[in-house]
Amino acid sequence: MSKTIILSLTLLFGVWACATTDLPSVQSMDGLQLLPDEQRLWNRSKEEQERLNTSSDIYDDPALSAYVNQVAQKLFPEDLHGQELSFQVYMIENPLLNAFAYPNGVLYIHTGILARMENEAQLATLLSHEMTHVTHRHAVENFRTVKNTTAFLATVQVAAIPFGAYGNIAGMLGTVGAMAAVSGYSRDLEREADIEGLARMAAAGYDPQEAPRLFEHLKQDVEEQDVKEPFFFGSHPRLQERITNYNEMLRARYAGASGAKNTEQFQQIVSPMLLDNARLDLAMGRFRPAERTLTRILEGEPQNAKAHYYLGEVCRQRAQADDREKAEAHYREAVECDPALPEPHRALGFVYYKRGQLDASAAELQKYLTLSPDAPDRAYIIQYMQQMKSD
Amino acid sequence: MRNTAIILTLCIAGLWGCATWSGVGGPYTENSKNFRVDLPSGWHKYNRVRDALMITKDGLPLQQIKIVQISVDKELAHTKKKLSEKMLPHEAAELVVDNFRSNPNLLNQEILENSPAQVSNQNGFKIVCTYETKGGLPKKAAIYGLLDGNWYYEMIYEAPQRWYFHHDLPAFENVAQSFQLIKSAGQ
Repeated sequence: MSKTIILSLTLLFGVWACATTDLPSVQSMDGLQLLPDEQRLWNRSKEEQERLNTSSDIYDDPALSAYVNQVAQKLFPEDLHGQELSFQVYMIENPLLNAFAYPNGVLYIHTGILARMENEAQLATLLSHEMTHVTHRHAVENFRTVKNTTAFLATVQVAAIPFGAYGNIAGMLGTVGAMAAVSGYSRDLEREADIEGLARMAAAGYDPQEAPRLFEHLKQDVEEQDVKEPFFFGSHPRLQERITNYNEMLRARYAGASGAKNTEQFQQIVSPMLLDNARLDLAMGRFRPAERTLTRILEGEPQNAKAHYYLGEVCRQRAQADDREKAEAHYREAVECDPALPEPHRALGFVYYKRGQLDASAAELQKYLTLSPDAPDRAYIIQYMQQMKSD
Repeated sequence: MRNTAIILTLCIAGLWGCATWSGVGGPYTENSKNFRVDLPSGWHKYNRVRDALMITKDGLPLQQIKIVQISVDKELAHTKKKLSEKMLPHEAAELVVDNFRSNPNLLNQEILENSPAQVSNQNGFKIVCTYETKGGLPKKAAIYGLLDGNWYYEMIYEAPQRWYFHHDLPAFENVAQSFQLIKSAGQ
């Protein structure tokens, strides 16, 4: 008897756990009608977004924000116009390569992933992928699935673990955001977002051949940083699998297809953000991505003094092999490009200080204080200068 | 009867040794971490932490002073960068600030002060910062740091911004002023 009960319970649980959670997409519905649990997810999403949007983590660049939202509008399916669903994109000041969507159409993109893109077509790939999660109601499907299985526990644990060097995003997100940003979706839902997203960006006139490039950047980051966490598009094997899937889709459905890339306009608009993002990478000790971004800035603007200075900072802080010499060379380039920029003078001052060239050091540090009389580290500089005088 | 008494004594001694809290006040020496310090009277030491000296008066969430000794070879908790014995005080402070800004458990971090400070009669630094916990509680912290050879010493005081921080700040400043290395790398 007891065996029968156990078997029945196991079967029941199995059926429940595997119960299909497929929902019709918003486009296929006659007007958006939220289910009760979906409504709760939307309410929860709004609460989490309020907190997120008033935090200092939102990247404030009105021109970039307007541009990203314009691209999102181009991708907005016409059959959804006039419905209650709309899309709004925000940027989060975070160098990690991530993006996520709330079920109510609010999307968040890290500056890190924007900084790795090369053109508008790659941005469209990301946005259309995230928008598919929204239009196909993946959040509620995901929530039901994880609630039904032990994956729920894993999701909660993933959302709760400290992210260490991998950024502070998990700290400020609630359950819905963490599920989208950290845990991600099942393989099937991600595949659906890939297929539909690619169709959407191609239909909007973008070059579909650019789509796998975005995932190649992600894969490179995962390899470089030895990322083990299930972040955004997932682990290394899953990323490789998705690049392969994209290439297969391109061969099967978009062979010979092309479209807009809008590289120049994209580069021009993201350019001011690149430096900010490189500084964030540097703060986290992500030297390779910081160096790559700064080198990219200098390819477009060889006279960018700030980029030279931060490249010098990358070398100084990384402190490998011939980094000290490289750092000094970059600081000198920065001074040549813009003698009025204070920071390279301070940096050169400390290069000379450590080398025992005290007169040269004092001269550079004095220049720094003259150019930046309210420098936040003024007290340190004065202390070093007094020590040099007494030595 | 005699055996029972011995067992009872051992149990009490064992429990005493495992006590979560013990009262502190006055001179305190931590030989294994190479420092001595004067601790405020009426505070309590939290004994469940092995790698730091941690004290509080009213409970850890309300105010805490933590003193740690960290090897410079060790990666900091939230940034991949490492300290180095060749760093100048402001460079070490810069790294501590980067680590603070990269802490995933804190929101709206802000640096109010980053200045040179004497720690154990050596050139160190002081950082004052504010942040919010995940639960939305605004807190404030003061940090003194010192690099000495291959070791980094840090004294951290943190408390809710409202009332507690300023109330117990003088006690922390006294602790910081009294901090002395037992043996400096330069000696």
